[in-house]
Amino acid sequence: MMKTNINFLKGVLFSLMLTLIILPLSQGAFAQEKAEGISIRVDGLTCPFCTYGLEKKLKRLEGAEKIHIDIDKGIAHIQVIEGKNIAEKDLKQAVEDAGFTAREITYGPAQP
Amino acid sequence: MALKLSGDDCMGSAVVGIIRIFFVLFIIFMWPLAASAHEPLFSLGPRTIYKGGIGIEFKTGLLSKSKLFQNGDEISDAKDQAATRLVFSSEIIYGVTRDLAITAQIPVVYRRFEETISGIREKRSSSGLGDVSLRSKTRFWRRDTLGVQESAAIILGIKLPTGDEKVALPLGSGSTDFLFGLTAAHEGRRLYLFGDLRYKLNTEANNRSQGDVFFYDAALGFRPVLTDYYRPDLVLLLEMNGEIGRKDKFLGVSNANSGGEILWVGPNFLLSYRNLMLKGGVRFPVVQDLNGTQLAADYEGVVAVESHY
Repeated sequence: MMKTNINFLKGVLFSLMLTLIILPLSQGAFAQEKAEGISIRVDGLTCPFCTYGLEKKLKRLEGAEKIHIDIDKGIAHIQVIEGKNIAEKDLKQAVEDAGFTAREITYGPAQP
Repeated sequence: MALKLSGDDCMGSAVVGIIRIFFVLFIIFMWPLAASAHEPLFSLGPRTIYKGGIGIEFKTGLLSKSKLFQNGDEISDAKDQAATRLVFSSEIIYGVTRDLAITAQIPVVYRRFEETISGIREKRSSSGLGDVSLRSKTRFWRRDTLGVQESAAIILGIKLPTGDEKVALPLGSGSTDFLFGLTAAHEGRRLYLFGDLRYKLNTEANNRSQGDVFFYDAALGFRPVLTDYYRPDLVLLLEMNGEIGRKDKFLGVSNANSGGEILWVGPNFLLSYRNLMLKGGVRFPVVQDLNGTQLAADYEGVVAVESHY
């Protein structure tokens, strides 16, 4: 009985150690998706009226706080809620659903 | 609905029947299309509303006819005839997917006709619900580059006989008619180019059928000021619309005073702010090569407000 308890405690300790090691590593792996701002190069933007659909789709993404779109540069900038992530595939899907083509996606600081 | 030939003597009835059945099945099961965004007022562009998007448009159109033409030439009209057609229509657009949108159009029509008989000015008018139509737009090709979108779409439509055709001035054709077409565009920050080909296949109802109509359209658009996303945006368009209509038929006999060719030209404007757009335009017939003796068009004007949600 005593031996079983010791083995159980060893198992718990091992699990805790494993968690402590893996958690920071996993956070490091997704660090590129944690950002205060995301810039997407969007092709096909020609007019404000059509671009409204892009704003609407990006706003619906969980974690998106503010959207700023520069039609001439073809850039959509998303200000992300602190502590939230938006995956690249979700960003591309939102742009496609709006009827445009997503190119480069850059994670970085929020625009002023 | 009678699946009968209405205009083209050259086409086999079996082929036309198959085509019509195909359209009905396509519309029922796929239910795709829509008109939206920057596109000409009197024709259709390929752009579709975003997936899940809803568009609402209220449109007013006025068509005036007061010139009498005989075999393509204007002649004096002893009766001084004048016809006016005013249409208030509501359109609902829905984006099924990013490349597929549907539009339902519900028109309310007012028609008036005046003529002088034995020195007395006679006036007749009718008003009420017109023919409701459903359209689909399926974008099958798109190429995006920085500030440019080039695309092409297939248009399918069906017009239902909801308008009363038995009043003095019919508000509908009484027939179920079909529309199919192809549209393409180059849309840039500064310039727009649109082009489309459409064919309206009219069926027979009450032994009467309107002639089929072939449309060919082109438009050139220009944005004079490149404003950013958060400011009002103005686009000016010069539109050209061609129509080639076959003769109407009654009891299988062609009406010599129907059908012919019209070429329209006119300016449009599209003024938008975010999801709201005000648009308007007028077009004038520069060529009216009408069969027999017919009242010809003076002008047609449209004003509309469209909003996306």
